[in-house]
Amino acid sequence: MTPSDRSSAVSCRGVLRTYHLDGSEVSALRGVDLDLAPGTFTALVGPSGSGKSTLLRLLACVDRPDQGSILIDGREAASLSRRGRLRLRRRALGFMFQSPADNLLEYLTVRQHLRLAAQLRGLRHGTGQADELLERLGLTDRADHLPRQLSGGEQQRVGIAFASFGPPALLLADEPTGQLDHGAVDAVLDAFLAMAEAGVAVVAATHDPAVARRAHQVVRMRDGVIEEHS
Amino acid sequence: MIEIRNLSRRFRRGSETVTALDDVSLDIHPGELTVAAGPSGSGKTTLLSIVAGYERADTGSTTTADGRPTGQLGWSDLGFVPQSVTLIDELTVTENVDLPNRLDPAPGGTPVEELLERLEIEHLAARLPSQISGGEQQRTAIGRALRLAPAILIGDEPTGHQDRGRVDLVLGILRQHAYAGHVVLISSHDEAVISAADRVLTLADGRVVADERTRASTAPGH
Repeated sequence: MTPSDRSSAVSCRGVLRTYHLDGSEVSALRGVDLDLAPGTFTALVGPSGSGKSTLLRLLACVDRPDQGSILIDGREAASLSRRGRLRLRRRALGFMFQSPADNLLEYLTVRQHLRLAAQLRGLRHGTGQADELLERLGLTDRADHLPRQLSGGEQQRVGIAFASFGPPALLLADEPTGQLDHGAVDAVLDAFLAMAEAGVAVVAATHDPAVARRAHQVVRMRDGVIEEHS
Repeated sequence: MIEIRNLSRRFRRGSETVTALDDVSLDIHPGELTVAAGPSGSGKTTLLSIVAGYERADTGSTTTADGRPTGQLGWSDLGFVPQSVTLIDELTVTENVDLPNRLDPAPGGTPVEELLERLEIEHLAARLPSQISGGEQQRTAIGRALRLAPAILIGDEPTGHQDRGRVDLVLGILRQHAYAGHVVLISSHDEAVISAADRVLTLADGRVVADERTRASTAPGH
């Protein structure tokens, strides 16, 4: 590992990914180099088909590159076994999806979500952190409620608490503001910035200019490569 | 026992109002396998989801004999097998079955190894949900619901992903749980499941149109 690797939550080098669809080849990623430092909030932007989702899937360890290196929290994700990628997901990654409901399990209460998060992260003593998170997010009196008993905003806050428990080294968000009103968008972006302040590398794939405006950096993709990094 | 009283639920579908449940009242008793039957859209899933607490009723109540709303019961009192199997992708089969005990530890219950063996998924213990079939995932969800030996077990089409032989296996496990003195209420449109029931509730247009004891309920050994 080089010194620059240690300073990165994510370090991608020469990442290629090609899909085979109906006999034709689609080059989704055509040589991506990207470093994401801990404590930064990155907006990943670009038109549909530019490679954002593919890059997010690779960073999420649910897919592997055809070529190249993806170092996440010091581990080479591209060469890990399926079980190794799972361990990395549990220990180091958090996820947020577009719909508040998609971030939650309908059969778990708020408190059970946080207990599950503690177990996935391998934290034996997560109760204190769970109580603190519940209080900070104004969910203490909702702790024993199921998702369907919560408002959309409350569901979103539980999703944030679940994803940020630990905290993870890297939080991946796919269009996290796509279904939210203005107030809720601000709350999510505040939470992302607070997580970055706590040392998490936050990456949000987005079409929403509000996300890009508040991010520390914007990575713009086009045709499977990074077109601009500002 | 579950006491269901005057349960009604209506949905808006476009400009239309659909009555999913229409003033349903009945008791579900322990010690017998009760099957809610009826065509798609008859109200089976809505009934079970309200009893299990995953959906709300517009009016009416569903409580235990001592007056506790069933929708507020924890895993040690009520286990639910949803129609769409919802396992946690990052947990192994063993960890998914053990989830209730990991999140809300309770004394008693059935050991995970015993459940895996009875459900014929012990060889899959270390696999992830993505590495097993739909039927195996469903049996994992059944194991999860049974982990803390709840007094009430609700299953929405709990044999829907099983092949013929495994339907009988799952039915045997559900009947065994019922005959141990628990409430077991499941839905099904499978004739083999319905004929194995002790009691069949037939729903149509949100109402219970028939409530029958079956021959299975008077079979020797029951």
